Amino acid sequence: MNKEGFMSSLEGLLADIPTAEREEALQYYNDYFEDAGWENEESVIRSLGSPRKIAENIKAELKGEELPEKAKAGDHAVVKYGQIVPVGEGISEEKALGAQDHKRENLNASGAGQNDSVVGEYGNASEKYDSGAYRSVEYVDSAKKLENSGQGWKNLPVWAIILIICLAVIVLPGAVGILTGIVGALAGILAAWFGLILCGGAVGVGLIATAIALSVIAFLCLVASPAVFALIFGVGLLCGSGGLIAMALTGWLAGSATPAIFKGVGRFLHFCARKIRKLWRKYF
Amino acid sequence: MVFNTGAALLDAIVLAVVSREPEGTYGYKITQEVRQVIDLSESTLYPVLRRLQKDECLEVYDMECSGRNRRYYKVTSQGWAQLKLYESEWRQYADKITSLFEGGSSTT
Repeated sequence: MNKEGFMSSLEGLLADIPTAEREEALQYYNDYFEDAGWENEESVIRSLGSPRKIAENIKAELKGEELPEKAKAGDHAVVKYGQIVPVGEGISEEKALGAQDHKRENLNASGAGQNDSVVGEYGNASEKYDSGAYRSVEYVDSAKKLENSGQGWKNLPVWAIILIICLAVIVLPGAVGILTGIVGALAGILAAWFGLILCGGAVGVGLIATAIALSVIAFLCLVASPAVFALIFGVGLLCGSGGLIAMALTGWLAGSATPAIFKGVGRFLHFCARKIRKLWRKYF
Repeated sequence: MVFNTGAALLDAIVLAVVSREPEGTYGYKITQEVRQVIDLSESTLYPVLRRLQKDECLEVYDMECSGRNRRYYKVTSQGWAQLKLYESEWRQYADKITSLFEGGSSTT
């Protein structure tokens, strides 16, 4: 891989972050290559590793910044200018206080035991710290850890899960009743719609049949009385045209309107589903 | 290098390296100097710089240099305060661990 390939790869991988951030990052690494000198291009690429890793790190750091606003279970304390800002629960301050004498918490110390949920400004997964295993510095697949801790069901506190179960049990009978009602109403509407279409078809067929019959009778009377013929034939024609209109209308309803309505409803539901999913992701 | 470098320590190291140049320094140079101290993956440094910048410990400015713009990072006053904090934290931490190691072999 050469510098161009590397940079365009990186650009592609960063396509889903805000433009300003992406531009900054790309500028940084461009400058980096330039400062290293063209003769060092290869060794720079080797030491930078893969564009994928870089993109992951950048996104992880970006995500890490969102979290302090949403205190969730297993969140962290931030050391800033001499103040502890404990955020959320899960990391007990006792743990932190117990670890050292003074009221400070180092993210590393707190990391022990809280695997995928110590995330924060530092965007680092802590699992590599507490084991005491000797590994070289790795800034980690924190992206993955962040994904998990940000959006995992498993990280809900126990009390929340129990609460949800209780609510579900209480609400269930009423919900079943309401749901049945809604389903029934929908079924009724659907039945009415199709009944209408059927009716229209029947009316159309009936009218046309009448028209044919009247025409036949009319012609039978033709010899006897032209006037009568004219009358009956006229009525027959009217019926016929009415029948044709009815058939056309029915055809249109069945053929075009019905699918269009279904599509419209489908789109509406899709829209609702997307909104719900967005809210879901935001809070979980 | 046997021990892991956590996020806070990394911030501290980078901040300290940048602080050695009161007028500021640039990405590539920062990386080289940090790597003299710890064995750091080069893909790690940019997010750290970004974070320090967003925390207002570092500020950036561009300077024209041989026909191109180069972005310099410089420690802010908040950055100096944070660095002092890191320094004292580190001293206490290191002292405790040192005394733990030494305490084991002495009869005090």
